[in-house]
Amino acid sequence: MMKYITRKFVTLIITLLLISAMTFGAFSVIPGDASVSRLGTEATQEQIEALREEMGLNRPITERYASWVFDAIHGDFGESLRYSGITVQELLEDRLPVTVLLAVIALIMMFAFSVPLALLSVRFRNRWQDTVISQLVQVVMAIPSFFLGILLTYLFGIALHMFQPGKFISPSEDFWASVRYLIFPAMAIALPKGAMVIRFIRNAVLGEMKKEYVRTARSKGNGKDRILYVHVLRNALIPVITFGAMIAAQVLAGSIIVEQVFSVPGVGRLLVSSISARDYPVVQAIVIYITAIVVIMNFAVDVLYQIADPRVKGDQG
Amino acid sequence: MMRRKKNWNLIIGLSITGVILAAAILAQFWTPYSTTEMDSSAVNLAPCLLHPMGTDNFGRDVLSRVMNGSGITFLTAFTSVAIGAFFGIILGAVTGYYGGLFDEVVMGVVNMILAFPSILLALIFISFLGAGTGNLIAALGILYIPPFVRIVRSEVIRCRDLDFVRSAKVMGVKPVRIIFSHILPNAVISILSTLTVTFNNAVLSEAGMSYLGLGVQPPIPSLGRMLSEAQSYLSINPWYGLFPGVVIILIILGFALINEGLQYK
Amino acid sequence: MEALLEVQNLSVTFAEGGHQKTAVDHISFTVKKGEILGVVGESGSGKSMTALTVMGIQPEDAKVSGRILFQGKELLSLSEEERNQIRGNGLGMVFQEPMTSLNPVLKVGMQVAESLKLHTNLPSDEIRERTLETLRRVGLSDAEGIYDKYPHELSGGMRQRAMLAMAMIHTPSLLIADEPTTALDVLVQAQILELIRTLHQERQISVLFISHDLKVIRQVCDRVLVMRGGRILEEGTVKKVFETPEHAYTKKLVGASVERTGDFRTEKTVLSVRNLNVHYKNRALLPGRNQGKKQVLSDVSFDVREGEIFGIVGESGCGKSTLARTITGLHKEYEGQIVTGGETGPQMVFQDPFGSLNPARTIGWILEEPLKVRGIRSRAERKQMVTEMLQDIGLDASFAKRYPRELSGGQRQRISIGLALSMNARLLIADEPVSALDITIQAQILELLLKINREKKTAILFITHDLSLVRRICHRAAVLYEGKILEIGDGREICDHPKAEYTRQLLAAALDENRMAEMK
Repeated sequence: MMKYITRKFVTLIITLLLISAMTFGAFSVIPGDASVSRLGTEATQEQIEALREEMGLNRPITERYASWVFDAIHGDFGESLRYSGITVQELLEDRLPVTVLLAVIALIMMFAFSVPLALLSVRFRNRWQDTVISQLVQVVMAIPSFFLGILLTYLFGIALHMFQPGKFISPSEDFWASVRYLIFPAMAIALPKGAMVIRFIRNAVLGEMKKEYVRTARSKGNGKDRILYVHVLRNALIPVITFGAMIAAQVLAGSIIVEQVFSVPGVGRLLVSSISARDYPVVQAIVIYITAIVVIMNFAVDVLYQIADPRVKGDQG
Repeated sequence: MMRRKKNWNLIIGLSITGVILAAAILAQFWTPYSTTEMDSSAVNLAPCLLHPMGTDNFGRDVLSRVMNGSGITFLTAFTSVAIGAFFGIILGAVTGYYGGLFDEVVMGVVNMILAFPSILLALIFISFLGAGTGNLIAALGILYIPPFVRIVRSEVIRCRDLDFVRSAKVMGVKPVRIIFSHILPNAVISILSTLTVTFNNAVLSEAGMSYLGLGVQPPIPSLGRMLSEAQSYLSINPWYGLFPGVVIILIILGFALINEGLQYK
Repeated sequence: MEALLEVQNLSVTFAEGGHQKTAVDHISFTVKKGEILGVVGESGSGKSMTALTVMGIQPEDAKVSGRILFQGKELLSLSEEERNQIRGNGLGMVFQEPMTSLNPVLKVGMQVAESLKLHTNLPSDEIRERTLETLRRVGLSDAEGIYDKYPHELSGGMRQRAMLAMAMIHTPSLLIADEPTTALDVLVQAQILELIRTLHQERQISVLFISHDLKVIRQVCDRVLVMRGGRILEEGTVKKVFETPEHAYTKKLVGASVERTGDFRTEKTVLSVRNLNVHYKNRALLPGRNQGKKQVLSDVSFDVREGEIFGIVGESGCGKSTLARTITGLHKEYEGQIVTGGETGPQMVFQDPFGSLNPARTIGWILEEPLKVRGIRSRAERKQMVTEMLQDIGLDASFAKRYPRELSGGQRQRISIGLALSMNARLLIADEPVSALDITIQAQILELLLKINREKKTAILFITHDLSLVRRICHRAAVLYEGKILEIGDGREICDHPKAEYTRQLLAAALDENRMAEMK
């Protein structure tokens, strides 16, 4: 078990290094490097050369990557090109908590409605309750989160005045006011993803219900509920864990677009505006951050998987 | 063989997709109005007889733009999925059949990519390549190789140790023929299912990226971009924000239902 | 004797494609107190569905009619909760596949103890005590260790013992055993059957024993029902049904033994194996991790002559399938010498007729493939040859348009044989070619193999676990145990006068049937 975790952890570090190297390499070959974007296209060759020297762009790429990694580990991602004098770290410090808060609210909301509905669907399988839930799920899954965001803005913001679109309050200023605003973007993310979760859990549980061990459990006199909760759910949970990690990553990604819809100043908005402005140090830092979150989440899932499924224990010692 | 019920999912899915696809193709030859011509006397109109979906802030006919926009959406999604499927199927078949170090390396990369939501990776790619339809297609095309690699590989591995493949090997059938003539026909349903799922992801990604201004560039009409424009006028012209979104939903729903229908036994 | 279970006019039907499919068709029978009633039948006979319906765990879409009286209570009129009171309490059940029938994520002890937990108010330490005791009773001496293990950590035989403990722990009045030994090896099978019989005697448990295997039924049952197509064809004591069967089908079932006639051997050798050694390396990606190798075959040597049927006998894991794979070239890493005569190498007939034909292709396409390999370019000629081959293997030309899923197991096995023949092979390697088939079908396939041997002088390497088949079919045979050949010799001689201790054990397990039948 420990051995397995250690091995997965090493893989995690390697993945992070690989992705950072790839992004670093890719951003280095983009035409019009950092010196040009800071000085503008009008700059003379001498000016550019001078700045390149100053920024260390003339050193070999491996050397630059090594020093970048060294700095990054210490939380130093360099300076933004767009806002001169402001470090990338400062930009992120303001925005990261907002995005994390949004994603957490969305995740809580998503599980809060999807798990009970999925179990309801399973308990009443092939009856009208199940049919209604399944049809709704089918439609809700097809709604893009940003369009749902627009619909929610219109309904709750413009028609019902439950919040003021565009007037986000930072959590450091007033935490609960911030949460109240974020409920709507969170809903836009949570509904379509939650629909996917309902469907996945339903299919996983119904798939397990067909297995032979359920027949054995029935032959011992287990009632319907006990079969579901004691025998089936733990088996169904195993694929749900993996799926959950994927969904969590998607919720994070969903916030990138939805932040735009609701003008929430989070990491997503910063990423989109930095891409448009070619502010590469910022883009690079965000990519690394998000990668790290996704990879660490997958690591956590691998470990959870070990605990949930006795069959994998020891096999990969 | 007799079927218990009609395959309604497939019927409805094909109908929805058929209608939208027909409208998108029609738009290549004819639209009710020009998609770019502005009419300052008919700005932000609600749906009416002349403009069934109303007009936008420049007085352009929304129906015409939606027809054209879904064409772009179909084209982007179709091309990128085709790229992904072509390379993915070949790569998946070869890695699955031969295994070995090459397989492990490919699967390492594939699993890494699949761990990330595709919209996020599309954003990263676009940040290297720059915005635009062509770049978006390229980015999505590369991103859709892994899902095909994974599904085809797992089907090939499932079949590889089955007796009918062993039997072909014993007979002396050449590996390429075993892979493509013996094994792949068994993967058709899984591939079709992956095609529809990936197609929907592509539609979502194109709409999302265009909404962010990083996908299809103006003046070409795009469903996602129309939504972002509509958002500024939501309080005076909510209809403009409704129709492009509904069409996106219908495209996705159509393919999702087709996928459901394919699983039906 | 008093009746424990009375089944009256029981029918089970399914709605399929607008019409009703009948699985069990108005059957009536009685299980008396203290007896073991066997139900024998081939696949599709409705025997398992009968067992599941008595237990009340038939598929949800099944429609059941008739009466099932258990200890005087009408089961079909009870509510689901009332039936749950009886399941695991008065009625216990053992299933065929112990791996899939046990819950993979729950510990064995918990699963065995569950009936007690559900049906008694015993304190948990006493439940544990009784669980350990029952585990020991079914021959799992390390009860404490096994209590905390998961099913996948046990061997097949241990799992089936645990299943038996699970069904027996609350001492049911009636135990329903649905093919309880089919998935097990011969030697383990004999132990489990012995165990069922002793538990039956010790605890006065009646048993409804379902099997397709006549030998097994003969070994454990007092009375037997013969089922076919959902109906009961014949009923009586085991002695009566097996020795003087009345119904034509039963006669076929009991007398279905094929015997080789004649000897078509020539002096030509079609296969010569010399000092064959095969081992699998445990592949490890990182160096230093256990790079052990597992010896699968050691120093195997034998010859097969043209027109000869050569048997390889052994239990699962003895290396017989590896041997087949090495000879056909599927497994390429070996030491030693394999010489095959003729232009085309040996061809294979596999055990599982459901895996050996490509499900995505028609029979015509499948049968054309070897012809394409042989370089027959003309489409018309290939079609003609396929038609002829279909006739040779006892099928008609219309089969060319069908898909494998539309064929029965026996028909598929015919196609498999035809496929091997289409390569013009001088040697067929048949890996348990009939063990997945119903008894009457087994006879037909064996007849087909003998006919090919007779008419084409094709040699057959016949791999099997069944010594009685070796005796009836093979000219010569080799006994394979843990990768080594223990003895080699005349097929009949090996069975009648075994030299190796292991062969004697195998024979003893197979002969148990006679001994136990005599005991009764």
